[in-house]
Amino acid sequence: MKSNMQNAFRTVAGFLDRFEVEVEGRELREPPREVANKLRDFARGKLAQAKQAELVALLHENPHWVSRLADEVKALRPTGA
Amino acid sequence: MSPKPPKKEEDALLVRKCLDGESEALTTLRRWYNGDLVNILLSRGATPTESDDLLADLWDDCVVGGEDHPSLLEKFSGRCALRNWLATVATRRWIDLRRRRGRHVEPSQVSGNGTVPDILDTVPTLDSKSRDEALGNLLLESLRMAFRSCTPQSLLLLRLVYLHGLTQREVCRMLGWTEARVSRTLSGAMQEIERTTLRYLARRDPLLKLTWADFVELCEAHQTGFL
Repeated sequence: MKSNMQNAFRTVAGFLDRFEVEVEGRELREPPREVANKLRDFARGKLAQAKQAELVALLHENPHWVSRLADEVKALRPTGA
Repeated sequence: MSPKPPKKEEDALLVRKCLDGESEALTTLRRWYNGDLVNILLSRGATPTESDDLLADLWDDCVVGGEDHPSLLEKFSGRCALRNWLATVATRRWIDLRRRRGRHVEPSQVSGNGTVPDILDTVPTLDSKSRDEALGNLLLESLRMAFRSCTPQSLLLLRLVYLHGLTQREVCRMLGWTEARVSRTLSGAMQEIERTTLRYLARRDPLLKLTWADFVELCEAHQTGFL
């Protein structure tokens, strides 16, 4: 079930992302330092609810920053995990 | 009845033989996939006659005909299953056929003077020079609508878990949620994407009958080596 959903989402999101970037020529800039700090706090579960909502909205506008958030979370994994 | 689905390597070998002009390979290609493609076209809304005509043309186009008429199979990159690729080609051609015939009618779209605009003409184009983009645009526009129907938070969760490989537990810790809530949000968002996509497709193109699995398959074929 999870695998089906995961495969379907990967396919449709990949399709959409590819064409959105081609059409809009979206810039893939790094997040500003202030945003980067919030991403780190969010990854650690230390961002207040209100700030979370602001950051989620910002990530919605800049979906290429989501990978940065994912990297912050993965960096917290125990070594060897 | 189609034989068992061939493996990717068998597909690649068959395509190579077809491109080398082996007539037996072309016969095998047709034998392997014609039945599947008929069923796919019929299930997507084509008539039996349309299906027969489209597939006869498609198999003809797979024949190597010299520099003036390269085989359609030269466009197959091998990055998706041959069956999916052929199904996408056939579906795209069927949409083009209906577009040319102008038989695509929605009562609400008949104008005051009785003329009927083609719905696919109203889909924003990525490249207006290419008529091949009609299907791609329709898929894209449907997905845009579907993604807009989700909350930014649920989309973020989908991306983190399904694209970037975070565990639900990691997401729980980040958001301060329970695993059950994360799981519900993920499945609810996927259901919303599926529902909105198919509803939008049905509204834009009532004759095109796609399931969610069909839709995903078309996206995959279109993305991974269609054009």
